[in-house]
Order: sequence, then C-alpha cells, then structure tokens
Amino acid sequence: MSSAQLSNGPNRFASILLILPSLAIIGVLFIYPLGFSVASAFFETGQFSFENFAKAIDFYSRDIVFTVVIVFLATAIIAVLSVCIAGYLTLGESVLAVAVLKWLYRWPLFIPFIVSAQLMRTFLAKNGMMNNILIEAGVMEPLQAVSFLDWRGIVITFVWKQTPFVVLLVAGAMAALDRTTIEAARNLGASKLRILIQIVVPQVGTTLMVGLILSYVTIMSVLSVPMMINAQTPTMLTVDMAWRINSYGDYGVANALGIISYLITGIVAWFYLRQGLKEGGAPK
Amino acid sequence: MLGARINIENLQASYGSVQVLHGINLDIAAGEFVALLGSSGCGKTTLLRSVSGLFMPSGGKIFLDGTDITTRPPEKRNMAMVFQSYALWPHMTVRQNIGYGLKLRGKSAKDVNQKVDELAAMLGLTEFVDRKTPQLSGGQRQRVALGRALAIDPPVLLLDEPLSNLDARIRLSMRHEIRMLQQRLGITAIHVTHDREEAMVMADRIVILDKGHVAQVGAPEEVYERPANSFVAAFMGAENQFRTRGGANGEAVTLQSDAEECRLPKSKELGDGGVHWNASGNADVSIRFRSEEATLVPQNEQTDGFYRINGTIRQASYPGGVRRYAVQTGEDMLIVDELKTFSEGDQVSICLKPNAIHVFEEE
Repeated sequence: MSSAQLSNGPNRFASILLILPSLAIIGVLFIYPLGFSVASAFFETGQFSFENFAKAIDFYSRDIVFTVVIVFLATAIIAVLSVCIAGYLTLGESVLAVAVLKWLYRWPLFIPFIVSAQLMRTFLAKNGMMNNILIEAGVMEPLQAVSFLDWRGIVITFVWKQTPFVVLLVAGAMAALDRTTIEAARNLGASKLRILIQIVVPQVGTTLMVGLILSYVTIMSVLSVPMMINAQTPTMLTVDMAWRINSYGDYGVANALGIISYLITGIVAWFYLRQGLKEGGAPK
Repeated sequence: MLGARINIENLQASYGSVQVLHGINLDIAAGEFVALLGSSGCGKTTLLRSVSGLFMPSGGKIFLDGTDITTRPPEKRNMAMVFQSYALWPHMTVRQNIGYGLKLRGKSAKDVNQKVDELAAMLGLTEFVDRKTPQLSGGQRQRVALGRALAIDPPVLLLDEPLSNLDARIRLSMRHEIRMLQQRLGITAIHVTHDREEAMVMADRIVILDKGHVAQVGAPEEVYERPANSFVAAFMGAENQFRTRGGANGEAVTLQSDAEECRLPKSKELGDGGVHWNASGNADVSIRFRSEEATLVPQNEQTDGFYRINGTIRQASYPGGVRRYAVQTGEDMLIVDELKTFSEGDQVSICLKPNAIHVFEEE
C-alpha cells in the first residue's frame, strides 16, 4: 500500500484501527507507568521540585558511580571475552576444542540471574569452592583466602551470565561472514590474532555493539545479583530503589533513582537507536 | 626472474570419505602460466587450495623451489591468491586492501602508499583508491583483488576462477591484461578455470583434470590438436562422437564408412594434416570431431580425400554466422556447423578432412 493510499480518509482510519490494540498495550503497560514514575519523581506533595533528586544524589551518589563503573567494567570484559570465544569458534582449527567450547559456552544462558547469584555465592565466598580448589592445588595458603563477594563478585556474575548471550550473537555474525575474506588475509600472511582484530571484528562490529548494548541494559536492571553478592555499601541502584520502597515506602526518591538509571541506559539506547536508523536507512 | 618453481608429487586430497584428487603429479617451471582446466567437481580448485595451503592434502608432497611446503601454513607460503568472490574486505578502502600485505610485511607507510599508487595506476584504479570496496563495480573489484595479490611481489600467483563473475566484454580484456602482467612481472601463475578458451589464450600449458586425475598436460595447441583421450577431446570441443571400425599402420589409417573402407593419411606430428590416431590396431574405435571442422554435402555429391558419414538432418538452427544442423546417423546425433542451407529431412554426408579426425579406442 502506498503512502498516497494511506492518507485517504477511510483507509487511514482502518490503519489506525489496526494498530490500536498494540498502541493501547504500549500506552497502558509502558507509557503510563513511565509517565507516572517520572511525574512522581518531580512532584513532592503536589509541588514541582528537585527535592527527590537532591536526596537521591545526597544519599546515593557513591552508588551511582559504583553502578556506572560496574556496568561499564562488566560490559568491557564481556566484549573482550565474547570476541575471544566467538573468534575461536570461527577461526579455531581443533575440531574437538571448537565442539566442546560450542557446547559449553551456552550453559549460563539458561540459568536465571538469581540462581547464578546463588551459585556465585558458594563459589566466590571466603571458604567457597574457588578458594578451596586453589588451596587444595597448593596455589595459595588458607590464610591468604579472601572473599570475592563484593564488586568483583558482581562483575564476575554479570560477565558469566551475559557473555554467552553476546557470544551467541557475535559468533552467528562471524559464521555468516564470507570465509574467503579470512582466507585472503591468511594467504597474504596475517596471523590468526591479526585476522580476528583487523578482518573479522570490524565486519561484525555492529552486531557486537548491539549485543553489548542489550547486555548493558540488562545488567542495569538486575536486582538479585547485587542484592545477594554484595550485601554492603556501595551497591547498585536497583538495590537502593528496592530499599527506598520496601523499607520507607519512599516512591519519590526511588523514582528519582529510576530516572537516573534511565539516563545511564539512555546514553547507550541512543547509540542503539542511531545504529538502527543508520542500518534501516542504508541503501541496500 | 621472480617466479618460483613448483613440483607436485602424487598429491591426494579427500573431503571426508570422498577422494577428490587421486595422485596428481605436476611440474611447473618458474615464470610459467599454467591453467587447471576441468568441469565442476574435477578437483581443480582443491588442487589450487592445496598449493596455497588453505586445504590440507591427505597425501603426497608439494615443493616450492625444491623446498617441501606440504604442511607449511598458508601465511608462510608467500603465495598470493585471487579468489572467485574477490574476497575484498568491505570495511577497508581500496588503498587499505591493496596495501594490507605490505603492512603485514612491516613496510613503512610511505613505501606502502608508493606501491599502492603504482599498482593503482597500472590497474586503472587511481581515482578509486579512497573508496570502500562495496562502492566499486565487479570489474573494479576484480582489479583491486589482483592489485592486493600483486602488491607483495609474490613469486607465485594463484587465480581461482577470477574472471567468472565478470560480464563477457570485461572478461575478454581482463584475460589479456592478467596475462600481460604475469609476463611483465615474470611470476609463476596457476589459473583455475572451466572456460576452455580462457585457458587457451592465457596459459603456456594447460592441465586438464578429470575426476581427480590429470587427463593431459600440454601446450594449448597440443591439447587441442592432440587430445590424449576421448574425454580431453570432448572437453576441447570435439563433442561429436561416431563409433565405427578402423585400423592403422605406419603411414595410413583405414576407417569403415558405411559399406566401404576409407583410407586416409596418418598424422605423425602437429600440423601435418593427417588423422590423429590414438588407438591400437584393428578395433572398434570412436571418431571425435568438432562441429565447426566438418562440412555437409548432399549424399549424391562426390568428394575426394574426405571421410564421409551419411545421415539425415533432424534439426536446423541459426546461432549466427553459420547454420547449425543436428544430423542423425544410426543411433548417434551429430552436430555440424555449415554455411550452406539445408532443410530438415535432407539426406546428407558429413565430410571430415583427415586433420579434423581424432580416433580413440572404443570404451
């Protein structure tokens, strides 16, 4: 149907009718709660004010910084690991190693965040499995054992949980590449690492970025992992929001923290949308 | 001379349980242009990829200037390959594509740029060097791929059907350009193709492969005039096959034609105008000839010095320049290109001069 036809009276009405159910669902389940929480962040007892934001920054500025550092650090590590794993799956020559890696790397995808967090608690604690293995193996003394249940634990859990997701996307894109572009580089004398960095990754850059952005947004929204791994301050904003609501019934500050979270994710969402527009608008 | 010598000894290759190369032996001199010619699935690309190192053969050896390189990884062979799909890197400009091999060899940015500019000028790419490769036409991409391969001054250039994706007009000119470049640079070239004419005009020697075996190796004229077997003859255009009885002695060939015997001179060397006899003594033989090397006469017309096959015209068509006739002779249908006009149903004789006839043992 052409745009000229769409602008006709009856057709236009019919097309609006057609998208009305989905518009209504978006409006009721997404726009209204979003608008409501934005409004309640700015209106304290019916008056427009920045009081909730002042309080949020006063109480939780360290947590804001902590959250930003955690998500950026976790995303950066995910980027490196996913390129390494997907790169090995694409360029690796040992058929057995590639098959084993392909089978293993997906497991965390099917484990919920809360189970992952619980799993990491038993693995990363002072007397957890990781330290026990290291002590048994004679790598360190029992007195040297420290707990990783702090910011490191959060980063490790997010990386463990989200890397397979990004690998899945990136390895798919790498497998879809024209193999001869890789062979041409080998033929000219490029090593595997060079091929990965200079030939393969630039060609799957968009997919990698999309995977990382989606991962970043997911990490921003998880409550269970920081709550279970790092029961101390500073912590992540999701924990603070839950705390404001559950302990104080303070929706104003919780919503202000929510908007700060929106802003942090908004930066990468902007990149994501811009990429989408660029791809959609690119000549085929 | 820049080119390197290649020796292939008893090379075997298989994909899983399917063997595709059955003991290939081939010696290629430095600076020689060799075409690997064969139909799809004959193993010609596998042979080229084995030489490049991108495919690991299951047996045999490959030597480069006397050094065994069979297990050497492709990045250490110093051979440059031009791929059928061109395999250009879409995220790089023409300059970056051509200069990549030089960058890998640690050349300074100045040297790289100078070499890229030289090659771009030689290949007519100067105005495109700063464009990304997806913005180029097929012919331009092909030139970039060639430039990228030539930039590293390779002793061996491997060409994997580099012209098959080009339109007919550009393909014809690129054949000559590649051949001239190869001769000017003095490098050894191995060119894979299924196009007979392309192999003939480009190569010093042609290697014809049939189901993973070397069917014949020789200069273009040799494989054209002296096909080693029925398969090579058919591949070199002598598609018509007529079964009869025949025999030969030192000087002459006798071929059965309808009720009578036809005696013709036997060829001893290229270009002497005799019958190319490639069978044992008196036996069932098959005659092969090219449709354009035969003429048609009405059956009642007398001729002298020709071998004649009688038949009936079943189909007439006009492909351009000549008329093409399908002539039924017993069970065989033979194709003849002829200037004269005949009609369907006409009783005709196909006349073959001795040098148009290739005789092989009946299989």
